Parts: sequence; structure tokens; C-alpha cells
Amino acid sequence: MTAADGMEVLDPSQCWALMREADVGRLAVSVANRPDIFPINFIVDHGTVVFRTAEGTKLAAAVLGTSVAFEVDGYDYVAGIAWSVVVKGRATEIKRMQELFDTAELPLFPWHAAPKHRFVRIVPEEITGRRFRVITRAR
Amino acid sequence: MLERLSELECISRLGTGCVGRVGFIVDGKPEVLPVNYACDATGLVVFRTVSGTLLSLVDGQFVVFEVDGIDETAQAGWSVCVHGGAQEVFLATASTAQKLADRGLISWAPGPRDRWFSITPLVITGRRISFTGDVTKFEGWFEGIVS
Repeated sequence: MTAADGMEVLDPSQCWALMREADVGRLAVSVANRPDIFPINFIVDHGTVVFRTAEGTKLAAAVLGTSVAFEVDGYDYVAGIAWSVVVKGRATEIKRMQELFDTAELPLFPWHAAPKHRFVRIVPEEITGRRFRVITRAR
Repeated sequence: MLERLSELECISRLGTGCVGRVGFIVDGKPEVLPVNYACDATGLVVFRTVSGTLLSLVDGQFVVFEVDGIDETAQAGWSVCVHGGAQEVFLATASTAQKLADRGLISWAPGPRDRWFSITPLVITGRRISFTGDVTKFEGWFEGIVS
């Protein structure tokens, strides 16, 4: 669906397809009701976003069990097309052994899961995306 | 290896980008949206949006603005965050915004972007994470190791 101004609203399957092509997204969290943003590597797994964080970090403390917003964007220089997807949901730690095992098999991790790492999954409650032709490239 | 960037280095890197992400709170929950922006030598960030978006609600709020990138030759990723207060800027009265407009804050997105906001930095933080593995795989550069 493309609005009159050229802004295309993406459906969830288009959003996931674009996210699968990306390596880095930005995780927005609320810490004491103040926003913070962390760039993270992530992968898409069965309609969820999975990333890892180290035990005892600011991010691990801030994110688990809370609502988060996760944004991924991209720009195709050749086509002049920019897009952005935002996933909102709750961040939960992946604890179950089988689930952890399955996740460690995903290409997110080139080495075996170290015990100090925590795996976090964002189960989306909402996913929205926009795509548009960049009107001016020069700055 | 994680290296903290000085404020000067952060501002210098802010000046190299044209897309960043604004993080803000609505109803107690975090939101994040990408914007085109411009900044000055103090790290003051200006961006544009349009009425009716969540982003147009940030006036008077504490927000975070993030820019990141990859130093491909040095095999490192970097990220800079400006934490501060967002204020709506009215061009007729704000010489700072006018100066930034003159410097070429251009919105990529179609349609009018007639609401201008500034973020006055309270804290500017940055980090650079070196990577020794396969440079074509950007995995593991950012995993929330910040403190």
C-alpha cells in the first residue's frame, strides 16, 4: 500500500523479509523511565527477534521482562530506496535448554554459547514498516 | 576490544552521519524511530518530523539520539548516543535551527516535515568495538557490553 505522498506501508511479511537481510538493529529500552538505545546484532527466528547480551551488563539488567522497541533500517544506494521496521514487544530470556540449544544452532553465533551469555527473545506485539524512495540524497 | 570515545570524538562522528535514531518514552514504553538530522559543534542535534507521528510528541521530553557506523578499514563498529532534552524549534525565532537549516538538514522521506525539534545534549557517550574476526561478518560487534 502506497500513500499519495509515496510512503509505502509494509505488511508484516515484508517487514520480516527486510529484517532477515540486516545484521544490526537498535534496541530502545526504558531505564528508570528514561530512554536508551543499544545497537545489537540480531537474527530473526520464527517470527521473533533474538540477540545475546553478556551477563551483568547494563543492557541485560534493563531489558529482561520489559517492553522494548527494536528498529532496523536500510538504504539501497543503487535503487535510492530507504526502509525502516519497528518491532515492539516484551523481551524475555531464553532459558529452556532445548530452546537455548536450538538458538545456539542459529547463525547468530559463530562459536558455542559461552555460559556467561544471555539469550534474549523479543516476541512482537506489533510490527510496522515503511519504505520510500529517497527524495534527496545529497546533504 | 571496547574503547570509550571522548566527547570530542563523539561529536566529530555525529557530524559524519545523516541518519540517526531517536529513542523516547510514550506511556512508559520505549519507542524508536529513524530520522535525518544535522548537528553543531556542541553536539546539539536537530531533526524534522511531521504532525501526527509519535515523534511529534517529544517536546519537553528527555530523549536519546543514537548514530552508529562501521570503520571498515579498522575492523571496528562504533556508536554514539546523545542524551538530552528535546524541544520544538520554531524557525522564525531560533537562529540555531536556521543555521542548521543553512547547513543542509534534508529529509529523505516524502511529504512535508514541517515540525523541527532540537536535542540539547546533557550527556554524550560513545564507544568503539574492535573486531578481529572475519571482517565481512559483522556478527558480535554489539552485544550490549556497555558497562
